[in-house]
Amino acid sequence: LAAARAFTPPEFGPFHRFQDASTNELMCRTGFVGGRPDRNIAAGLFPRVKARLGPLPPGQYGIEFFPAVVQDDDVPRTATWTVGTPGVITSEDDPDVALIATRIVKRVDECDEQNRTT
Amino acid sequence: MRRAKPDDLNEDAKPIALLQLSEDRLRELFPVDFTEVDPLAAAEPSIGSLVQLDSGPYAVVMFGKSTGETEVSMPVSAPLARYWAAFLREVPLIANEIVWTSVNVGPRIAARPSPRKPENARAAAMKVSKTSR
Repeated sequence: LAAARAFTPPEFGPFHRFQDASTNELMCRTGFVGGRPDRNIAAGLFPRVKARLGPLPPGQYGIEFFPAVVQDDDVPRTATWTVGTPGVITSEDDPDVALIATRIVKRVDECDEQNRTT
Repeated sequence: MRRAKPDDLNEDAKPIALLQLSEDRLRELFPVDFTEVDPLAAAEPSIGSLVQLDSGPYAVVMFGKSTGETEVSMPVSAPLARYWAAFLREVPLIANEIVWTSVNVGPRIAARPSPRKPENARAAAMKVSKTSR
């Protein structure tokens, strides 16, 4: 029992995404952060979740989260989770959406435009 | 350079460089149309474009409107070192605009050095080493 109590699933992060209130609501309600291919720009063959490393900066709207899935090792400052890697699942409603289970620790729906960090 | 249609590139593209640009500088360097990116396809509100260089290679350019970070991706099967060299020949980046490049594109030697203020250059030229004479 003590061992079971001591075990906590691994978490990674923090990461953040800048996004609007409706997307915040969807992700907070489901506990999943989602991502789509950028098909209106290029081929975008593989759905992947995209986020930025670190906590949500002050004055920005979006979410801060800790996923239970390790990210692809790609680009500094950003993280991706691609469908096909362990722990990254496809949405039942939309096969073009990749999902990762996360613990969302901060949500900012609105902020003063003048205080936004750019 | 020209803007290509999304289906002109029918393979996945991986990030090979990260740039730090203002939106004005983005439009100066990439004189093509940019489109709003699906909010779920980027980590922040972004605009993007698939560009084809005059010499042929394709590059996906995604500009983050909150941070100014600009991700350049190229096809996974491309000879990245050669394509990146072609990219730098056509896109006159200065060195401090390049935040990161993938190890697959080779050493960071091809970008132009940052412009130096004339005063600093003159001061450096006038500096006399203790050992010189």
